[in-house]
Amino acid sequence: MKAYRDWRGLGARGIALAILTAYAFLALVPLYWLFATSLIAQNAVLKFPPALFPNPPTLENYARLLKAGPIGRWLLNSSVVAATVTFFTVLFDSMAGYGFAKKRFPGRDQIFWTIIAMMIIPGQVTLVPIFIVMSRLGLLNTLYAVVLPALADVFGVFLMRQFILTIPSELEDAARIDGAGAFTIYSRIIVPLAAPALAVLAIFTFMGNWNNFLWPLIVLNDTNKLTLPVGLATLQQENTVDYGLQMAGAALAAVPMIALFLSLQRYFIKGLTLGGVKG
Amino acid sequence: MKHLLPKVASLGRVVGAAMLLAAVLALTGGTSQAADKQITLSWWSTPAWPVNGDVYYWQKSMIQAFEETHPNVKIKLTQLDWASATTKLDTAIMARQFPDIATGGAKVATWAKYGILEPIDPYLTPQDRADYYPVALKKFTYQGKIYGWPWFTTTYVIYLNLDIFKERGIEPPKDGNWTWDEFVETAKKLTFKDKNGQQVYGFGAIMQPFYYQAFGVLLSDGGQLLSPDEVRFGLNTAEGVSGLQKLVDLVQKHKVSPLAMGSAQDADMTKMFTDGHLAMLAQGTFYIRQLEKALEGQTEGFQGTPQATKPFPFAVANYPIGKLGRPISLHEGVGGFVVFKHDDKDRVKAAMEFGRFLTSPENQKALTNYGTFPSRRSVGDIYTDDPYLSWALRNAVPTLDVPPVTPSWLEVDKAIVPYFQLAILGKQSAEEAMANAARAADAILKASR
Repeated sequence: MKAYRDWRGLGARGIALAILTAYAFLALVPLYWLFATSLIAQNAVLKFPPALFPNPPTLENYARLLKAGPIGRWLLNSSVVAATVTFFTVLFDSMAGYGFAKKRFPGRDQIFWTIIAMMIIPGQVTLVPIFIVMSRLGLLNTLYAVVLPALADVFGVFLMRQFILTIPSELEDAARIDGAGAFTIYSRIIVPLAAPALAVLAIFTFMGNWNNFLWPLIVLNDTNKLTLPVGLATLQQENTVDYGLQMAGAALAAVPMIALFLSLQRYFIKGLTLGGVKG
Repeated sequence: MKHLLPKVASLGRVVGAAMLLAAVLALTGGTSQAADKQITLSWWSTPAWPVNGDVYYWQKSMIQAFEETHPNVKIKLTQLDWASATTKLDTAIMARQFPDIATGGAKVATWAKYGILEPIDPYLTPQDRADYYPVALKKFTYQGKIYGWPWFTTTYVIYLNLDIFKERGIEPPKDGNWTWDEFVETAKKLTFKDKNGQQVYGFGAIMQPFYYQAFGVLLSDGGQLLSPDEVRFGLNTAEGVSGLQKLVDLVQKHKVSPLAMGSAQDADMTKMFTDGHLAMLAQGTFYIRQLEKALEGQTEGFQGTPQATKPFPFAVANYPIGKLGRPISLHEGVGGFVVFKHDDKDRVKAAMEFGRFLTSPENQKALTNYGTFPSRRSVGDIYTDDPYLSWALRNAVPTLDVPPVTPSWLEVDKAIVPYFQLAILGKQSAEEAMANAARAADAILKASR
């Protein structure tokens, strides 16, 4: 009987595994297509039926891409924006999250929920007001204008508060008895224990800012100040698509994200389940 | 996890420090301020044709040439991509942070109504006015003033698949002009089932908002889109209804056009033509180059317009002549440069000079790279080596008219086209559809006054 149950379990798992493998394969096809097309010569990109393998593979598209615009500069700008925003978002959101989770002060919950209510305002609504603010500050066409409005975000505050709520308050009390101040408790107790949530927030923020298109597009004008996604968009013509060039650009933009995801995969998975299980 | 944390923390400190340093370095590449009495103009431009893969090469070469003759003027180019140019410009305009000069044409009326454009009238000589094609100036004229330097014109023509003409033993129209009856007769002969049992239709033109491929037929009996004072819908007349009736008849009575004419998108209709399922197609003159390249065996990727799977010999013709007495084509087809308002009059003057320079007869010769036509007569025939484009310049551009230059036109267009589609699909009579379109259009025009 038990043996039968084991077999049955194994069969069900086998089927599930087969379905998931097929799905993973399907999900990876566009990514494969992206990289394969970026390695196909310009004159063979639109062959029908399309070639599944670049034969022979060529780096011609990448060479053309490097000539088409200041790609290195765009990569640097994107890295600076994504890294700066990530650093400060993680810092500010974790501080705010700690305050809302563990500190007692009048109107705490009302303020928190007011901040959360901001999440329902679509980004397009604040686009023009923030643009005007940046213009008054004389920051248009600088990377400051891209970085400043993104230095803290509501989602991060919410995520950090929910996670810090699960950290036992006894740890704080013990540290306080030992004479630790608020900042010491935050930096020595809360931050190490909230590392998984911080990592998740960092990944989401970095990815979001790396791929951000609309805001940098609107505030940046000079070619050498653009971020990578905006810069790549300017390489396109009206009626013709240079697929090889576009794919090479997209591949270049995707590689850092893929590397980041693979190296922090376990945090990412944790991030998806965060809040699902307490403790 | 625990033993990893100190390592992560120290690594974090190093990375953090490096990051901040990089940030400071990158962020301090701030804006340069002109120290002397230099004028710095900002030019926002969408891409032109590629030169060595650079789609802004033309703009850069124009800037260089202008700065050489105007040492006190510096021009900063902002490269807009096609997909997001409108978003960027609209946001900048809402915040009143617009450039000095921008490539544009579609929103002239709206921007002029906002009062953010400089009229070019004071900078136009009588010779200039006589030199521009009237339609090119019309595209930039709002309430009697001209708000932009016209650069190029482009229009719709009717493409003929000569393989199908030959198969059916039909000659294309002599000199590319024909009467409505001749056109219908031709289309009837070109509608048949080919040897594979595939239905081939004589003619196709889409009817979609903001696309005017079918309007060359719609306006062929003399219908006007708006009343002369632009306050009322003008097509609900005998001439307008008979124009719509012609489109309906092509599908419902003569059965020479597919029912899809009332619903198909641009790319779908074009694909029917390139696949040999349509003998004649109304499409923009930009398509000439693509069909030529297909004949030369080039396999470039064209966005939104399918490539011929099998190249075929083709010809171009005008829309058939109706009661109007001459062929007409309607197209957004004039592009140019608008100069935005600025308190500094010297700056406006410099921008105007630059606009004039960009669109000078000499510089318009470069339009051959674009496959478009000049906006000035004195440029002459720039396509002497290309019979199709040369024909279009001499015969199709003179038939061009532009949609009304009024801020509410786009909204009106979006409201009336569904009724025309219903008529073509046989769901409403031409009269009924036109009356409904008039009601919808007049409501919009009234609200915008």
